[in-house]
Amino acid sequence: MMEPLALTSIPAYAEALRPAVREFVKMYTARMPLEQRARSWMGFDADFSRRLAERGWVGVTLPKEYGGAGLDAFSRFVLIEELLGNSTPVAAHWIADRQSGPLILRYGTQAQKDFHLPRICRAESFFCIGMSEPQSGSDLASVRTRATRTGSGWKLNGQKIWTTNAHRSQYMIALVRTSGTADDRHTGLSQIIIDLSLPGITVRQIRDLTGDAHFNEVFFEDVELGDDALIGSEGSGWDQVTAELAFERSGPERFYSCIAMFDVWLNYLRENHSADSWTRELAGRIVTHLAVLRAMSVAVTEKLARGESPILGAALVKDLGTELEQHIPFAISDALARHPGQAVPDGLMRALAYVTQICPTYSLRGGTREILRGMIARGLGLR
Amino acid sequence: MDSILYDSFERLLTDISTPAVVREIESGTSAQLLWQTIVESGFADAMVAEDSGGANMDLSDAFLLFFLCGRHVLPVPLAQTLVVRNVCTVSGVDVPEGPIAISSLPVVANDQTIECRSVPFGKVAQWVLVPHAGPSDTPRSVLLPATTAELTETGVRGSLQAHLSWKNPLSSGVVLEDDLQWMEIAAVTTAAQMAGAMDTVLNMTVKYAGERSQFGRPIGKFQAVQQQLSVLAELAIASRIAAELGCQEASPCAPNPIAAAVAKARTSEAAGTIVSIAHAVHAAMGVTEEYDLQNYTRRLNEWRTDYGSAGYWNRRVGDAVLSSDALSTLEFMLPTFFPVTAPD
Repeated sequence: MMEPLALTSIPAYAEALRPAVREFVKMYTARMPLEQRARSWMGFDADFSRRLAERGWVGVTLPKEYGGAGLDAFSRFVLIEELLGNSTPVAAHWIADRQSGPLILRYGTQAQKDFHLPRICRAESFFCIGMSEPQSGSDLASVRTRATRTGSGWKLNGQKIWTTNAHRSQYMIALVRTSGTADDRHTGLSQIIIDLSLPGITVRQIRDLTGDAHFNEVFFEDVELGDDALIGSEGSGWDQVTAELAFERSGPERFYSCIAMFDVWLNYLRENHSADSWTRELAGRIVTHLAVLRAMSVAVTEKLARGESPILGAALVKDLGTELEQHIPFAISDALARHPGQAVPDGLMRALAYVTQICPTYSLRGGTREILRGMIARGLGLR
Repeated sequence: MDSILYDSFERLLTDISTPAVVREIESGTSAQLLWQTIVESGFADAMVAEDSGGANMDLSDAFLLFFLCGRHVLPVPLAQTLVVRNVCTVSGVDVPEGPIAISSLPVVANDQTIECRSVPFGKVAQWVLVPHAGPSDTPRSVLLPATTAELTETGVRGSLQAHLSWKNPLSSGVVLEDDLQWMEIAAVTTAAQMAGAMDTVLNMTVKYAGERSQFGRPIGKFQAVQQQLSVLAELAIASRIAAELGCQEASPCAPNPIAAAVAKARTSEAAGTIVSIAHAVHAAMGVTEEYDLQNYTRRLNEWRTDYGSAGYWNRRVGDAVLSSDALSTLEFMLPTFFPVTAPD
């Protein structure tokens, strides 16, 4: 049976970080239009990432010797809660900060750590994650992209797809097959770090329904990689990827994605004194859910801080959190349209349309709802 | 708080609040013997100060006791009694004997008659705490003996609720000069008990899905069933932490009213889904009198609307957020629900 999540408070030393981050963030977001803020952590702004890095706020959990701040999971929670709760454009450094950095720290060789971690902390190296392939979505173990041993390293062939920000990242950490065939499932998979500037790599953008281009197809044709491309142990790719997921799924990015939209709507209601009883209840319900999700996310963070890998707790947060995130734009548009003919500012409507259109991805990225629920069922002992 | 205390409380409830006892009391057997055992165990004074013979638990500590009461659907209002007994000792009022129910908002007529509709545990309580029922506008509550009330059964089968009314309340009642918001207190004790009952429902349902076979394999092996059970588990875990959030003591013996609203709203919303999934998985067996699931789901169905539904409490949260001058949801939520405690 599953462990419950116990209410935990963030320790004072971690909370101490909050005021400075909030002040910095507010200065930056004040001049961002709502439509940009509505993109939340899909918003890409390398300049913002570098300015955060100058303050020492990229890679904060990495040790100081690599340029990090040597802070724990609670401190990172406070930092990213302010970044996400204020809808800053963190996409450029997000993956490296959240999972590639910790992965390299845990599994990397000394040389890999010395090379990559300082660059991550300076927001010079942005990372993307190469997981999905045209024939491998939720069935990740069926990946076919293959790295084969050469005299001096690895030769890479294959294709990744739906790789967020591959076109503006310097590196990809990919899950590839290094031995056996797709029938061998979880064995024979490894993680490799790919320098995306190497010959033989083609990155092609895929435009989404909102007009943005963050997804990519990435093609590998006889790409020559050095010996040091392998991260962790050969054949342990599946376990390494699984360990990353606790970092990926439990954070506030799983329930604050629509917060800019929600805040603007609340302000609109306050200014227009137009909240009817039904609307007040609706706004309250969203806050009720957010408060509980935040409590759950902190409880999972506490497990991360203790060095555990709370994969099930993280799955709970992500499934419930994305359900709320996906509910918010529909709830707001329903509430606004209860007063037909009301003049709603175009900026609000554009941001609302954007979030409404893109929100189906919230429960796809980082593991689909159905896969997460399957994991929880396993945790319940059903499979 | 010492986990030994919670463990021994759980053992006590396992012994005394069995499904058979729950059924008997729900069908009219006196709860006197059950209550006597609880009093002798000392747990009725868990929240009373140590120098008054209690264990000095605050609301936050008592969360787990409330939760365990719900896990065993204890058919007496112990959770509510714990709080009232503490308030009595603090206010210097003699602690009344017997189980104490908390009424929802009463109707007070011009002639001072007090009418309390559908009082949770009203049938088994010896006293009823009636919130804000005093003759003046000052928020003070009255403790009224059930013996002087006119008690009307609701007629709902197995329900422990009753309507109680008092013609001349102040002749027998004890006025508590408190300024406590009893609806909020009742909301969090109920939310915690709901979370406890949900925990049992989750365990029973997962166990049943592993035992019941169809098409040659346990129904828990089918993805459609697994997905539903996962939702049940998510909601039970979310409800537990929501209730714990509501039970954080913000001022002596009282929760933060908006956190209390969150606790009751979240658990009440989850309860409906949890009950329907549990019954769907159990199929016809789950709605039989003989099978124990109904002991928990009937109570969940009552508790989800006792002291206000999800809609009532969400409206409270909505009013709070819309009337606040916080610049963002984050700036509203953090100080409201997650106050930073100064380092020791």
